[in-house]
Amino acid sequence: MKKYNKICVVTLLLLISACSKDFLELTDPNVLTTGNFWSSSEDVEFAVVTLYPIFNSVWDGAPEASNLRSDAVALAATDFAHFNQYYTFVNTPVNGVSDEFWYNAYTTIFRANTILKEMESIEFKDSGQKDLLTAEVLFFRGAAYFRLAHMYGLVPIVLEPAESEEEFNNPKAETLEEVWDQAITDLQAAKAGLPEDHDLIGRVTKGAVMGFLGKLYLYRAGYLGDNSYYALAANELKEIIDLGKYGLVEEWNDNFTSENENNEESLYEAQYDVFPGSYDETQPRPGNASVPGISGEIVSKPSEWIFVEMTKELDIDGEMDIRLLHTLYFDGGLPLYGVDFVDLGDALVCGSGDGGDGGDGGDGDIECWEEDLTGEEGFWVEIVEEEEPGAEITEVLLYGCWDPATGDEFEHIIVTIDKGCRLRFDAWEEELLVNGCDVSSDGGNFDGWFRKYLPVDLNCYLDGPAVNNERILRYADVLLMYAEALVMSGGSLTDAADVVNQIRQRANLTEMIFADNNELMEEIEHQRIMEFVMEGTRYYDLIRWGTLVETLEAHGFPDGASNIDFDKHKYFPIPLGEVNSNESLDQNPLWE
Amino acid sequence: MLVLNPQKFYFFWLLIFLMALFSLPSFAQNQVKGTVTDSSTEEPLVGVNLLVEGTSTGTITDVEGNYTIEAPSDGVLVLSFIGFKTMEIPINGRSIVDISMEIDVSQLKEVIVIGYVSRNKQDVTSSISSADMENTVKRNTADITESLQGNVTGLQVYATDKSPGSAFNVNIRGISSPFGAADTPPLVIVDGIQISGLQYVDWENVVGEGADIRQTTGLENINPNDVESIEVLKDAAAAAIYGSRAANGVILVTTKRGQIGAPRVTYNLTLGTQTPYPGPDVANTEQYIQIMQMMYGEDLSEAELVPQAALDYLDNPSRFSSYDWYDIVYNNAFTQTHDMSVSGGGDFGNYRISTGYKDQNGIALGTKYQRFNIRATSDFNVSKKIKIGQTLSYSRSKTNPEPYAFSRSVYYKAIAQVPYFSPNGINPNPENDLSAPPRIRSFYWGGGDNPEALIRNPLDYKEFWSRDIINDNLQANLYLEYEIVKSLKFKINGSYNQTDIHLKTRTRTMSQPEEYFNAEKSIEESMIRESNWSLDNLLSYNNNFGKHAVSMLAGYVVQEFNERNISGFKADFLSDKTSTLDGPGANPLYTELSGSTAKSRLNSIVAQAFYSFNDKYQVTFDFRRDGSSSFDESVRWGNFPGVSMGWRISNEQFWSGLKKIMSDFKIRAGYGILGRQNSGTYPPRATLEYIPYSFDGTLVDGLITGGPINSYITWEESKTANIGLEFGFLEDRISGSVEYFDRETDNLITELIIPGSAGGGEILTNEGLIKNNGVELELGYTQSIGEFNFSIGLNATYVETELTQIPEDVIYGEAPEWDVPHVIEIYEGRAPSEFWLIKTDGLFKSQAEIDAHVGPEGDPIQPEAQVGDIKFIDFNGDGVITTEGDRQFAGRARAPWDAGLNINMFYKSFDFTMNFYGNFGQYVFNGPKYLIEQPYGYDNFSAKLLNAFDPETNPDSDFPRNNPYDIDENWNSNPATDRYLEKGNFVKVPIIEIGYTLPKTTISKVGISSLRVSFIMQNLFTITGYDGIDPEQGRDGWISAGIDRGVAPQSRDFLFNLNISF
Repeated sequence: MKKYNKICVVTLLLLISACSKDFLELTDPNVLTTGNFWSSSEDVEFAVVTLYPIFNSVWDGAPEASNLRSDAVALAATDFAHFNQYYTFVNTPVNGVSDEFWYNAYTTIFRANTILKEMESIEFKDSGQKDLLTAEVLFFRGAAYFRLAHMYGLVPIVLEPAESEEEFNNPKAETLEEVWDQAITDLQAAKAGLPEDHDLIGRVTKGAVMGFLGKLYLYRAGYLGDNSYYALAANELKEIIDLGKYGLVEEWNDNFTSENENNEESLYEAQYDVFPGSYDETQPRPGNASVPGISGEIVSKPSEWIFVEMTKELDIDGEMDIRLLHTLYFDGGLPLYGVDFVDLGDALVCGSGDGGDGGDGGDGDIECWEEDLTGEEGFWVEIVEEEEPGAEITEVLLYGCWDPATGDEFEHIIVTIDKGCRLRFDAWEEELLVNGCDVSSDGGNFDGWFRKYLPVDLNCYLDGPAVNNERILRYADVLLMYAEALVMSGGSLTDAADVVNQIRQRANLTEMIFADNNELMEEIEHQRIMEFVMEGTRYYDLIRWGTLVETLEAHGFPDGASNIDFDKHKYFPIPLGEVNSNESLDQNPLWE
Repeated sequence: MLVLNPQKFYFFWLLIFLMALFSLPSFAQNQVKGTVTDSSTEEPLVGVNLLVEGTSTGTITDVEGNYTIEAPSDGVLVLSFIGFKTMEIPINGRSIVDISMEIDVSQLKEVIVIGYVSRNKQDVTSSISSADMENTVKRNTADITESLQGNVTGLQVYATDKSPGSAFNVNIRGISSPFGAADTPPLVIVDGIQISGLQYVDWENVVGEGADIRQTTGLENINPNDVESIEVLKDAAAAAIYGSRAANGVILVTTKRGQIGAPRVTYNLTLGTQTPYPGPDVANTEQYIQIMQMMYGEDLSEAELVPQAALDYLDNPSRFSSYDWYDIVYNNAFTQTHDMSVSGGGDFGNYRISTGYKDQNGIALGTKYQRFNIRATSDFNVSKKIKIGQTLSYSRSKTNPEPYAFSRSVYYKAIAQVPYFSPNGINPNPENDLSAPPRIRSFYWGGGDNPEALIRNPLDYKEFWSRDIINDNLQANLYLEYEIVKSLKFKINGSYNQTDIHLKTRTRTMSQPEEYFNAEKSIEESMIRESNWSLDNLLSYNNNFGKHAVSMLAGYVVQEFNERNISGFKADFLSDKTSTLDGPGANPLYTELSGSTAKSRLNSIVAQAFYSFNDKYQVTFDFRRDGSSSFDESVRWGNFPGVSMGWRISNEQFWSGLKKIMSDFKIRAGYGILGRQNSGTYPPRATLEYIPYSFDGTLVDGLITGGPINSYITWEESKTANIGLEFGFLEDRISGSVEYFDRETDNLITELIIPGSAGGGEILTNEGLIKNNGVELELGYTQSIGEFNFSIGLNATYVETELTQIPEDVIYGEAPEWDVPHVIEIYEGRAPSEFWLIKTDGLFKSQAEIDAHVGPEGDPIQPEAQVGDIKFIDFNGDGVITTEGDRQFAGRARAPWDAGLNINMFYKSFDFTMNFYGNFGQYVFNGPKYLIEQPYGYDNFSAKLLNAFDPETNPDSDFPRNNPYDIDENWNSNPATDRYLEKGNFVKVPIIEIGYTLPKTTISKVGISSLRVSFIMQNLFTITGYDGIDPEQGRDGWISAGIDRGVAPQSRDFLFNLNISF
């Protein structure tokens, strides 16, 4: 009997440690689980917010990729092989520079589809709110399909969120039109449901949707060769003008700084911000400008051609176009953070100037000076006579800089001549460094950098990211697209000329009268260049106009141009990872 | 020089105190004397434990078998001696008690631990290897894992690098996990405690892969001198009792416990020096300039890519010295180890306390490893039926790793450092004084066109950068065993293991601005804790019924695993002297803080049954059922059975005639299934992503659900079949075994990539299959000729691995990595980690040979090549050489053969040990050679470049002409070809030891019971055809195995050892 008691004790011990099912039920404390998410309209509000950051990277996420392929850009460094390949049109699907667009667009679509699906079973107290949120979501999905349609051509159309393995392999749409149509359907629905204003600045409004829709019609006309869409574009864009909500800002540079964001010229803006102490929760803008010492790795710099193109015309006061001065940082242009353009390579390191006072830095900073030599005799007179026979010298300025850290000293002379351009001389070597007037000289001689979108204050990349919003769609674009749509659809040329002159007028240029369509179209193209350098439109403009090869060739990129197969390069290759992981999807045949 | 830190003395006193506690004074009694002899030979027995029953009074017999002990006249003497039957002799008032002891036949059977229980070795029916402990402990390695190299059949141990404190990787019978988990260590159980360790590895230093915390066996925290035995459960039938944690194999470690007898104190001292192997032959300053001239012509001033220093040298060579940077960076290093233990036992039970201190300086500058251990074990016989025991162990180690050297190992920096560069860094250099030493700055980044830009003084890193890694480990265990009825025991066993890593990295202001370090004056501090506890409830039954032997085990086990980490980083402090994160002036934008926890649990039922008939037929069943919190409820439970059988043919009647020749012969076979939970800590669950957005400065919260998940991820399964033969010849003087195994690991957890168009991301699936099969051989031979005894042990393992089904092939050959190109590829259906390279066929010795090397169209394949250039093989026959098309299989990176040979000899008081360890069949990509044999860059060159081909002066050379930067476009400037791939076969000699044991007669007079001194040489030489510093390049991972990346090389050590017992 005693024995059995003992056995019972032992069994009891076993049972004490025998645990209930809960013992093995553990949840991860490091993440938020879905729990009862998707139960109220509030959850939908939360979810819609997440569309914004991903959508911004659809239109702007890879500044290099969207800007590199343009005649405005020269490669600043050749050691980034994948950018080099991409730039010279020898990239393969392995390259991956353009892949982010694909993935970000589909992430946007996936999130939009998820929200649309989950919304169905949620009860909204205010049905108006439901319609509003639906419209907002449809805008993002539509604009993402628009991006896919013009960048990749034939792509899968996905309208439901994938929930299991069976739903992973989406085949491509049957025709190119289907993709564009899907974008139009979504955008039109969004337009119908969104208000002109939103309490929260930065959220999508009707104007933004109309802007994308107008742009889509214009692109569709060019990409699919269907001219009927020009009239649709003109109508859509005219509607925006008629809203009377938008206008051109007086100071052109207000479109690029953090000072005057979400202004009257802005239809849709990617909001960038930094909150000190919570670095992870910020949305810093991706690098775009290219001044060494400021923006990390420098991939691109302005081409010789863009400099010439932008110096073509002086303004009413005989000054350089304000857009040139704010787009490029170059010898003879505006100082940057108080430092004139110098040959120091990476002179603009953090703290090398103290902002706007002409460049007198503190101890150890670069010191710079300026001297007016106008009217004085000098070696430059001879050289000007030799290089530009018959030119009058209007201004001679001497710039000098000294870097106490290295002992390096530079002096150079900028001579402005009445032909509207400037010559730069090395003051010691007595030689001409760059001939700003001579376009025939081989590319790469122009020395300068992009300054558009640089922060207002010298806020070095390493010290913290830039926060100026990217104006993804601005009114100037609406005007110029409208003018183009009018010209292409046979609309009113007077109206077209009028909007082009609005653009010119803001840049302090004389009013122009156009003899014919061609002249008007030429000016539209020129103004698009003046306005939108590094804003990710030029490459797609050249594609929809069908002039990519000729243009690059004419503008000093014969190597790149000779590699272009227009039909192939009209679209980007589908990302390799996508082709590998999606069993129902083949690469674009031209890219195989 | 022997220095003991006063702080360490603190523990010494603690020990003395504890010793005093255990050796309680006995009260005055009669003196009993006598002699103990062996009943069969009548020879005196030395070292027999005598104990007065019921007391702690005890002694041991001297060299003549004599003893003297104080004991009450009605007392009982308890005698124990290994190999003999324990005896209880009543004194009955005698003052002289002579005793003769009988040999215990049952004790001759070797008992081994098989998991939860022990068993006679001859009853084992599955595949279990035991380490040769004598050879293992002798090797005196910091980490006992290293000394298992070549000592355990089927166990592959390889070093990631030889820097002090580096942990080792262990595989049992090859790898069976998909990519990420390739080097997950086996399950390690020490005295019933599941242990594991953590190591901080900075791969960034070597391969730019970033830093990581890596799981290790945990054996590195154990003092090798505390280890009694190590068993390795290799096949599934053996390991099934550990079920879901056993798929990588199981290592069972038993530590030493006290022996019956009076307190015995042992002190062990090892000290000596570690010397670097000679470095590669690199150019000195004169030769460096000469090579530059071979590349660019006599007059270097016209060449574009020549450092200013070379031009200055030509102006005035006397300003320059030549430095051997390998010698500057690698130096002799002192090492010392102290171990002390006290142990004893009696009727009450037994105890053992030990402490150890190891101090190992690394041969590379600034590296160091220190470890302190303390361990206490005891068992108490509370009553005839109840036994309670415990293990408590704590260790602390501190590692100072190699200084961070900008994506390059210190080794590479040392051999590639330009020889004219002065170790003193910046020298004063008045510009006008051309006789002064040249001004060469360390840490100067002047941009791409500045040849001095890449010169960074490795000695400066040491000043600029420091890292301390402190590793604390606690192991504790407490058990109670209760004999319910005879043969039926209940045991409850609780254990706890905890490892803490405290990492602190500091940077200071650099002498020159350095663009890679935007975070100067920074501190990074992380603390990681990993702990687990388990509670085992076990019921065991053991009995013999005549010819039938039965043993059974049933149990219920609960385990919990925890992980916690917190880490902070700040930079730009006001002062270099700041040593904590609270220091003033840090820039908030650099501040980083992170932390996380993880917890998982296991609930298990274990069962085992063993039956043996007449010592001839044996069968064992094992079973474990595991439930894991890491899987969803529906797929949580896994069953892991194992069965094995043995037939000792030599015990059959018909064998009796053969027994004289073949004394032992046994066949055994087994099959079992093991599991592995290779997913995350928690079951996959749909999660919310937090993505806020700032609308014109107003931060608004954003939340969204992620993509689809697979909740039904479950156990990976590893199935092993094993067949083994055990044999012994000539009364087991020759013994050994042969085994064949076949393992299939399937349901491997792999990531399936979701197409971007379906939302992107990954989803886990149970797909994938890896097969391993192989053969193991063990052979031993012992012989005694008079006073000369010797034994030889040989073991060899051959493992073939096939990646039958893997998630995706890993194909490289595209862009080269920072310094060593991707040369490893992984293909489904093939062995893991293979080298795929462009093959070469010597040099073009004439223009005719260049013209004759043509493609299918008859066009020359290398039209730009010149005489003296390398001839590449156009593998795909398309007439051009491309990395995409012309790479071909060139060799495997993981060695299929692993072997060890151990020789031990004794002659009178002398003993001699020599161990060999070898790997065969693998190739090594010689990274350092690839870097210094290229006529490329400003780093130093191999002296071989002096022997480069030259049509006039050196037409017979096999070394390609110096063609800097591939100026002549011979296809490619830096191709990863088979020129740098070498056979990696090697045989190492981890130890040669000569020892001398002083005669007992001499030392017993001064109260010493044993004293041995020895001289040890470690890694004296390596037999290999490999041209680098060390062919053992067992890096973890799949894509970097077998690549010599210039990690810390091994040293050659000369040590003195003293072992003394009282």
